[in-house]
Amino acid sequence: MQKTKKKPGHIKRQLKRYSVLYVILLLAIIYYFVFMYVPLIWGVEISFKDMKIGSTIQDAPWVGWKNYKYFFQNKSMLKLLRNTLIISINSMIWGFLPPILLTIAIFDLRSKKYQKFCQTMVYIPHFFSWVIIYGIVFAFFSGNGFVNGIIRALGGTEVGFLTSKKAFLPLLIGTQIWQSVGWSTILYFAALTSVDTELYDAAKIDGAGPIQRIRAVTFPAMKPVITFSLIMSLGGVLGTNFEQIMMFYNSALYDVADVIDTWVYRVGLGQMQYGYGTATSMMRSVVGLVLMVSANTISKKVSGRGMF
Amino acid sequence: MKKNQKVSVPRGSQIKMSREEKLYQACIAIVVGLVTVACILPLLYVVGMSLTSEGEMIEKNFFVIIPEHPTLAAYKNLFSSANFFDGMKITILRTFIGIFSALVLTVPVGYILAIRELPFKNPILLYFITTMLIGGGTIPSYLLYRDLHLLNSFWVYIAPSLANTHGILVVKLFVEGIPTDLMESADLDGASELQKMWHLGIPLLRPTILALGLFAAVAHWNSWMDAMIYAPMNTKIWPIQYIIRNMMLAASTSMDNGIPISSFMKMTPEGFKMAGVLVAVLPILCVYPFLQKYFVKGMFTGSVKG
Repeated sequence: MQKTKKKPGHIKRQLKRYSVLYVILLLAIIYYFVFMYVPLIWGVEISFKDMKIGSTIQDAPWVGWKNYKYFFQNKSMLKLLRNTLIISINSMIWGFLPPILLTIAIFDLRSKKYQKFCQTMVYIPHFFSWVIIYGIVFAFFSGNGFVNGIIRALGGTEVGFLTSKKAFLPLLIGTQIWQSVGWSTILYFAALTSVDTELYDAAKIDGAGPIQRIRAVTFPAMKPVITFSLIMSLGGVLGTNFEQIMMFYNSALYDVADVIDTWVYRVGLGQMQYGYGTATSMMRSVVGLVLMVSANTISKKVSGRGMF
Repeated sequence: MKKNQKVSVPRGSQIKMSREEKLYQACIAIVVGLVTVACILPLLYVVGMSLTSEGEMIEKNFFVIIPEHPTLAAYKNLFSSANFFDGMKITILRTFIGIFSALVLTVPVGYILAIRELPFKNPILLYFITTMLIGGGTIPSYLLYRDLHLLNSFWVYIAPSLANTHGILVVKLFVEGIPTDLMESADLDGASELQKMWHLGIPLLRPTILALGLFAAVAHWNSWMDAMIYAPMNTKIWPIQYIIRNMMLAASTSMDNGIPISSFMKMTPEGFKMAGVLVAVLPILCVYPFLQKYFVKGMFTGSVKG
């Protein structure tokens, strides 16, 4: 490795050499400023202001922390936080194991043709929009759907799954797993393909059964990735799938389904409560940032890999 | 043992499979098979539902798996609706323009930020990455698009999508993997930095560009939230997913007033909704088998170090 000697004028020369490329970078920087940083700056500003309908951001009077206090003084707002946490923690817990088990099962399949075929198939739901997935759920769980068809055939009475508060969370988590389980195996599979095959041969010669093999070779190979994705999912605990919930929720379900995102859209934007809405968004954003950065730091220490 | 000889056997299996191993193989073959079936089979039921006539539904107490007298009434209704065609047109248009917009800034910026000796590289990179972690949220974006006159216009789907920070990182990662002597040989030829990027960097990046473009295409095909939030007043530019979504959530079956009554009687409300779902998902299913390996490759490169 050669060390670049930093002579005076070195940077100047480099700047000149790359000047055209800097023009391209500048365009991107301006674009990012307008579309990413302006909303951020405005968001901070509006969250400290009382913006009335029709007034501009500049005209609106400053109100200090009023919009932030609203969140903590209002029971219905704390319900949003509770719902958000319940949904994201549940999806973390239930969604954690299935892709790991599926990866091990697919990886250990003897027939490479069958393996390829199954992999191709289980990736497909990842490419479906939530509109499509809700459509499939509708086919199975609506009044005239598959499940109610069976219930009626067995002499039971129809169940309104799609408007039931009890069924909401299982449906949400279930469809999340259905959509992502196959695609998530790619990350784990990548870790397994780098394993030295000699390790497997050695395990075989030692007479190790499948369970011992998983414990001694397969699982240790997956562990850094498992640790990584577990820690990173902790960082995203305030994030819920806005798109999915917008599809699955309805006014009968607000009690359990209303989360920060949906409230900001429905009340903050829809009823023009810009101050409350942006304050709520900002708080989520800042707490989320802190969680993400600490998760990343921990992950880098523990598993040697991070997102950034 | 006959069966086992046919199958390609990986990982040094000259040694016979133990009984435990055989049992395990059978179990995982079944489990993986069930998951595979679970990913695909639900769609077939949706197909059945879309083809079932109202008469048959009532006759069989609203539980039909495979319709005996399939009808295309639901599809006829769907295709006779002007909204449906507008939606398709918008979705196709935004998908193609969206591929371009997802790449036009992403690829050059990712390439440039991979140049090792570029002055001020790290602060610029940080400037881009920060936007992945923190943002203003829906309301300030809404106000910004209002001020830029993007609300209720087609370009509200495209303009925000030029920012593809994840794509920048993927491209950067890839360019960093290109051997430096290849780049230096271009220096000897006296190529300018722009020529180097255009004639050397971008052709080498072709697989990455393809993968990024494909992901952008899928995202645009599936997108409807932006229409809901930023284009609620202009029904003419609603993408197909949003139209299907409204159809799903509506109690009535009419999308607009153009539905002929005779065929309306034949189909079920559920069948109509399912027909919409299938038409929206069909293009994805048709393209997927051919593009699968690029998708997976793209995911791989994104996950290796990403």
